[in-house]
Amino acid sequence: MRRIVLALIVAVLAQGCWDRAEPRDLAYIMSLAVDRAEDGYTISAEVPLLASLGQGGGGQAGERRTMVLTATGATLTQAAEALGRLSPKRLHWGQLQALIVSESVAHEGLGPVVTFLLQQRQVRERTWLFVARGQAAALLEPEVGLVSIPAMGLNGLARFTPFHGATVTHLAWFVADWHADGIDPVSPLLEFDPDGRRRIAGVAAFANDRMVGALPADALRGYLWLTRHRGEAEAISCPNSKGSLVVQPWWIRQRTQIAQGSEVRITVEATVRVLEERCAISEESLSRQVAERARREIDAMLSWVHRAGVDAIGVGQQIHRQRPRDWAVVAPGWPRMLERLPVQVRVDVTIKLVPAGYPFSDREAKP
Amino acid sequence: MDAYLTVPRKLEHAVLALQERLGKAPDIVCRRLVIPALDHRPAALVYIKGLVHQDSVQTAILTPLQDHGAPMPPNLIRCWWELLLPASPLEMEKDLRSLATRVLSGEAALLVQGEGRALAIQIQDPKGRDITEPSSEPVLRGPHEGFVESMETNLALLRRRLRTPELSILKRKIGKRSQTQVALVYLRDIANPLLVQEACQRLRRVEIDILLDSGQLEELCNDAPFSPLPTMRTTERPDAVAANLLEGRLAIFVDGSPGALLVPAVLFDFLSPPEDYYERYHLATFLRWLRLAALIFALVNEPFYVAITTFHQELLPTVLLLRTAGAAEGVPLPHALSVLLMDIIFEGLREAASRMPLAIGGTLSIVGGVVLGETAVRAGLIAADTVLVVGLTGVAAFASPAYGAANSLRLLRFPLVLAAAIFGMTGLAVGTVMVLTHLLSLRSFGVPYLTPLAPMNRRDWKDTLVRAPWWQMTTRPHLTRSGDVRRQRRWARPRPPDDMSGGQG
Repeated sequence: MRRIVLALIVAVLAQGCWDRAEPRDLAYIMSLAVDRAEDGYTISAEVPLLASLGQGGGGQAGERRTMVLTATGATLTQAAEALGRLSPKRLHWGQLQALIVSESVAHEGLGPVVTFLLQQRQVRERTWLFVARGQAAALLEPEVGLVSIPAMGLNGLARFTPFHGATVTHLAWFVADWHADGIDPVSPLLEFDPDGRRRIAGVAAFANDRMVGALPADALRGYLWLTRHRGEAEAISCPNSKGSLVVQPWWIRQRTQIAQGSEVRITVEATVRVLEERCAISEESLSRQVAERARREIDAMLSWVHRAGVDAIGVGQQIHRQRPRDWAVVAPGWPRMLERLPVQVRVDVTIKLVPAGYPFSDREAKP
Repeated sequence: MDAYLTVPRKLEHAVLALQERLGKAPDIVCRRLVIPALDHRPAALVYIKGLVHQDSVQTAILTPLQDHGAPMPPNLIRCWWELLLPASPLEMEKDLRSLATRVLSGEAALLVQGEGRALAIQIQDPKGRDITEPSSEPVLRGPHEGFVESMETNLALLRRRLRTPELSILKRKIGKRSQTQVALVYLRDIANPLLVQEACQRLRRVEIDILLDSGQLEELCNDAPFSPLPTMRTTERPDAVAANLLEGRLAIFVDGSPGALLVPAVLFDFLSPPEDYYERYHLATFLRWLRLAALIFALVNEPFYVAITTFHQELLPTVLLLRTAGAAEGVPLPHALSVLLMDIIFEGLREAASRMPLAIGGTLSIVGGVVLGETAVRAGLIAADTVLVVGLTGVAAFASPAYGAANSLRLLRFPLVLAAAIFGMTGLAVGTVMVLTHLLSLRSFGVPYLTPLAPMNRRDWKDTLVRAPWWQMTTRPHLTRSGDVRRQRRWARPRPPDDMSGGQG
């Protein structure tokens, strides 16, 4: 009996806590950039310098809190192994905040990158995905700014940009849209502005996991209307007087209906808020102008969809939901069908708020 | 040894025999006197100095005996003591051994020539401290009286709250040498007779030489002798005992101990102090949840911290992890060891502070808390968050109103920390399941420890997870089946009169 107990105790103590790791012994990869190298990939990982984050959060403003490790390999796995050889601490993928891939990698397809990352134990599916204009590794470079860790800056950029929700993509969402029928994934484009700060420049659209191209500016606005996202404010000029009004969509409802003869009818109803008012305009005139502009932007988006054959707005998904049987018929040829899909768009705009608080009817009285 | 020895008729023999039984000691007093009323028969008064009330010896015994000068009429001499000593409660004692026991417990023995028996006169001096608020269970609202060391006083305190003929008190003596009085108290029409029988049996089984405190009795009558968790509850509050008797529990008093034992005791009893029943029910309910959370927190916080920092770093929010890792940079010990070390230091500080005189306690807490903790963190020997985790655990452990339960849980967290350090979250999960299984297997006098959660009795939730308003608690808890179930009338909710002017005229 005593021997058995002893053996049990030894078994417990000697098995060695094999995956135990003190938090200080790990190199946390906060953000990862993937670039195409001549023969393979170059990956750059941003890891925090723990000593600078230590007791009391110390460190002075502008002090380096992170460093970037770079390694190259024929495959992503080999590159990661080379990265591991560089690091005096064990690489830990569990805190990955952002993945930046260069456009060339995106054009070849994100499949290998996403698969590689999701194979790593601990990786969060809530990792923001960006496509870089230019070199991806450059965008990791620490910036002196509002956040102490550049990766957290990417996190904030993804969450708090006006495009939030519309274009920003988690790894998990990307994979979901990639594999889903009738919708293609999108991802924000990241670039340096002329002052050398990182910003979200636009939206990259994918066919399956391959990047097809960036949405042009007006198509992007159309994309926002169609995906019910608020977007940025626009200036509308008054017909009779100088000056302009600034309006912003406040609340958008979009309905996609499939009519007989497989014509798609898209209705967008929007409530628009007036943010600044520098000229007099009647309510009807304003809503007509906003609606016209929205329709133009939506048309731009739809014609981009027609040209590229990429269903970034998920028309197919809507058909699938409404008429599963019809969808089963059209699904195999959907990208080709999309290119010549007849679409009817109707936009209704309601003006909700006036900055000074008095209604338009008073305005109309004095021209 | 002789089983039964009567008091000798001859005074000298009787005195000698009694003194032999009592042992030679300077505090045994033997006063010779002559009783005029009994034909000037010689007598002796034997008592122990310090145990009897000195004034009473004079006023209640000596003076009446001496003052009654006239000889007694022969027809009354049979019960002379009732005429001569009307003021003191007394009993006739023939057995020499029990007479000695009575003298040792503070009664005075009056031996009279030719009687062949002795009078045991109860003039004990109820020396003891005043009734004060129990320091271990203070309340803001509610009665501030607490039990004292004298059992008679304690029973009187209880009687003052339960003026009912159904209050039963069974007394027996435990302790071969201490002969300590133990009282089993219950309400005849509410307590389950089987429970009373079981308690009596357990008390009867106790054979110990000395019984000094109810804590000893708790260990000797326990349901689960190897469990760290208490299955009896101790309280020093008469109001708590009264309320619990009304819920069908039994109380056990030990003479010389201010803590009464309440049985059966289930886990939730340790989370509801008497104050809960006097505060407004909203606050009481909130505090119950808080205490439950604190209890769970005290148990799993440290192991959780160890498991998550050494095995599951990906589960921590990024900023928190970076802080933790940054704070641990350069700390020589692994997380698990530094938690255990800090724990032991914390326990040491607590123990030192509780043994210190009050005046030094303050200094100690400053040295311990501020100097030790702060310096250790500054010197980089311990990470700041470890100190925080251990400190929070300590605070949470003491948020439980029952000191006993809190102590046991403090101990249980050590094996859990070890399990978490070796097996990570798996270890913590398995350890927690083991603790839960143990809780489920425990019984206190036949009542499952997690009543009314398991076995589930939803009716009793009104006084466990929430403290229902008093007007809703119309029935007693179903802890043990009892006769009188109803506590108050149904529909007891107070309301204003329908006619709002009714009160006025």
